[in-house]
Parts: sequence; C-alpha cells; structure tokens
Amino acid sequence: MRDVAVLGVGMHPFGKFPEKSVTDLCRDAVVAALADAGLQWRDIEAVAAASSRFSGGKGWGLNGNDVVEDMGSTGIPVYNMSAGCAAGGNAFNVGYALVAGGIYDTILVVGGEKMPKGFIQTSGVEEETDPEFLRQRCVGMPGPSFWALLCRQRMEEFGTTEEQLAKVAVKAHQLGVHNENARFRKEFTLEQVLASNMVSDPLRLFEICPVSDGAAAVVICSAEKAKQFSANPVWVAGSAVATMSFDDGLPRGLAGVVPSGKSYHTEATLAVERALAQAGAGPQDLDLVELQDNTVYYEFAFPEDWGLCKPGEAEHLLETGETLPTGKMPINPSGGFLCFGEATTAMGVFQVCELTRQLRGEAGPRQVPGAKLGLGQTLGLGGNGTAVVLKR
Amino acid sequence: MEDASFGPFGTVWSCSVQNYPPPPPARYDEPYEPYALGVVDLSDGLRVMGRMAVDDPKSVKVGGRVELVSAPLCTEEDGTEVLTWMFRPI
Repeated sequence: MRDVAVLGVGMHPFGKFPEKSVTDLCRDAVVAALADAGLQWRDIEAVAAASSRFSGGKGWGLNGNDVVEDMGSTGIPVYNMSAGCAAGGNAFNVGYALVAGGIYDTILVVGGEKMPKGFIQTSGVEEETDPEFLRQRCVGMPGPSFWALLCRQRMEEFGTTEEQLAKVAVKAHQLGVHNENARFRKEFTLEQVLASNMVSDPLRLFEICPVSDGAAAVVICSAEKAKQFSANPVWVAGSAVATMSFDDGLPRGLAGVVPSGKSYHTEATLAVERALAQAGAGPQDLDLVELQDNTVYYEFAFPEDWGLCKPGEAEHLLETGETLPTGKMPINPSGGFLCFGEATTAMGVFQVCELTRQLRGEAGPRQVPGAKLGLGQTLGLGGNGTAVVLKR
Repeated sequence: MEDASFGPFGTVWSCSVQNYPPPPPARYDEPYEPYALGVVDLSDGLRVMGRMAVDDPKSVKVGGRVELVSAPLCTEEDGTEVLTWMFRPI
C-alpha cells in the first residue's frame, strides 16, 4: 500500500440555502478544494462521491456524476458510494483505497446535500420486510427517539444528569461560534439549552442536531504527487469502514439479541479500532476527535466505547474542560453536528476538512495546540461505520 | 434454523416519551397524544422495541417488569381497529 496525502480541502458553509441547488453547493466545495490543493479540474483522475437519498444524483444516488457533468465531462471514472449517513466516510475510504492501491494518483472525494425540512425518517421504503419501516409504522419510533432511548439508558447506568447533557451543547456552541462554515454561530447558556423544547425525553431541541444543506470536498493523492505541491502535507494514517456485529446491543429495527457485555454501535467501534490499528496508534495517542454527535449523548458514549477514557468518566472530563481544544481529550473542536446540522452524506468529508485544518494549524480560536493525530468517525443506516485517522 | 417462542415477560432496558407526532410512515389517531416507548429485554434473551401500554407515558421506569400484549395502535377510516404489540407493566 502507498502512502496517501490530503492535498486540498474545501467546503460550502452549512445552513439552509433555498436559492441554491446541491450542484451549486458541491461546485463551491470542489473549486475550493482544488484551489487549496493547487490543482485544476483536469488533474482529477477519478471521483469518489457520497450517494444521497435526498438531493441530486438523478434520484439514483449518482451524485458524483452530477459533479463531473458540472465541472467538466473529462471521462473520468466515478464511484458513487451509498452508506446512509456514513456515505461521505465511505466515499473517502474508497478514494483512499484506490490511491493507496496504486490505481490512481489523484482523486476527488465529495459529499453534498440539500436536506428536506424537519427530522428525517431513517427508512426510505415502505416494505414489510424492512425492519426500519416496521419500527416506524408499528411502534411509532422516529430517529430522535432512538437516541433518547440510548441516552436514558446511560442516565440510569451512570447517573448522567440533564444539566450534563445540556453542557455538551453549551460547549459545542462555544466552539462553533469560531467556525466560519458552521450554521449556528451563537453561544447558548445552560439555562437556554435546558429551556429548549423536550423533543424525545430526555433529549431537548438544542441537544439534537438538525438537518442542513452543505457540501465538502477533499483532494487526496499519492506521496509522490504530494511532494510536488507540499513539503509537509497531511497524511492518511488509517481509513477503515465496518458494519455492525451480531452481538450489537442496540435494537436497530424491531429486535436484537441481549448482548453478554456492553456493545453498542459496534460498527463505529470496529471502524475506529481498524483505523487506529492501521495508524499504529492507540486511543491515547489522539490529539483530537471529530465524532458524529447527532445528539449530545454521543460525546459521552463514543470516547468511552473507543477507549479514550474509562466508562462513566466522560461527564467529568466535559465538566472539567478536558474535551475543549485545550484539554487532554478534545472532542469536536469544529462545533460538530450540533453547530453544523447534518448534511447527511457530506459529514464524513466535512470531518476530513476539519481535521486537516487542525493538523495544519489553521483552525484559529478553536485550534488544538500542536495537533498531530486526529480521528474522524461517522455511522449510517444499515449498521455502516467509518473512521479516518489523519496525521502530520 | 428452528422456530423459537419468546416472552411474554421482560424487563425495561430503556424508555422514552414521544412528545411530538412522528412523521410518516408512523400512524396515530387525532388528536395526537404523547406515548411512551420502551426497549425491553425478554427473559429469553431477545431485546425488543415497542410502545408501552400505559395511561401516563412518564410512569414507565427502567428496570420495571412488563408483559408483551397486543393493543390498539390506531383506527382506520372505516372504523377498523389496527393492533400492534405493546408492553404493559405488571
């Protein structure tokens, strides 16, 4: 396998843009990534794109083809990757593998979304064989309630308080206010978060990420190519995908097994473990983490699942400032999904953009001092997990 | 593969209250009333999602013992009652 560098990153800010198409959003991100890399469109040898269910792609998830038609039909291969909300991370992994494996030297990875209004439904089909559909039809359990059930279980197990949950949102917005690409650039007090509407008990409106429009793009290339452009690029130390394992304790559809131990979101844990193993690093070596905080719960649960801290320790680390960029376990210095909103299939690529800027030391007031090793993680419907470890 | 029976008794692993009307394909009768959701570990080793058959959605407690029952989910326009599985505290 060859070493792979992240040569350029670019984003369209996240928000609601009724006057723009998803192609408009992707174009801005791609042009920015090419400029950051110092490349032209004709230098791109292949595209790995996240397939969207919500926007563009001719309704078939052909979102990479939209980008190529818009930027210029140079005849390059397009890989449209579908993995629910993990599609961006999945597309990055495929792009990485194609460069590392020597198939191409320079690849564009892109994800963009225009999301419908309101909380999204997870299942896109009305089929009686689809457990997601049955859960919504027969139980009446939409996405946020899935997170609420997880969160309530944690509160019972570790005594997590509603104030501690709200403090995660307060901290996210303290950081997001510094991010020019974030949708919500406003600080909230603990009281304001606690006064927001209860959506799915115990989770409140400001503790759940909404959906956003947005796009992100990165140019990755071989080490040989990277040397022509940068003496000190950001490297991909590990890139992995996974699916959930049989003993996963999350009831995803209608039913599952009662696991013998604690095993939630095994797809995320497996992907993170694989990416760290590729990087030859352990969880304690990470300088920062960008994780999928669909809700505040994950900022407590994931670092424990992945061995960054001990079970039940995450609340204390938050309250003592250790998850801030200046702490010993920085989590989501970008402001995370809570400040960006989820442009579902763009998120894995967005994380690579944020990690790259951190490792370059370009993150301004949210910079993690001296960051050298960063982890990004997404997960999506179907039990898809992705992880990337970047280093400098 | 062999058929296996499970239930009807179990313990609440976690619970929540659905405070807002869920989007389709969920179904409910108007006017919308918040309901309780539960994840229940059946004694046979199966973890099952379900609605809780309770009058007060806030009354459900983690660790509580429940029984698997069938109960009305909603009513069709022609008056047909649609049943689903639910968990009732015992």
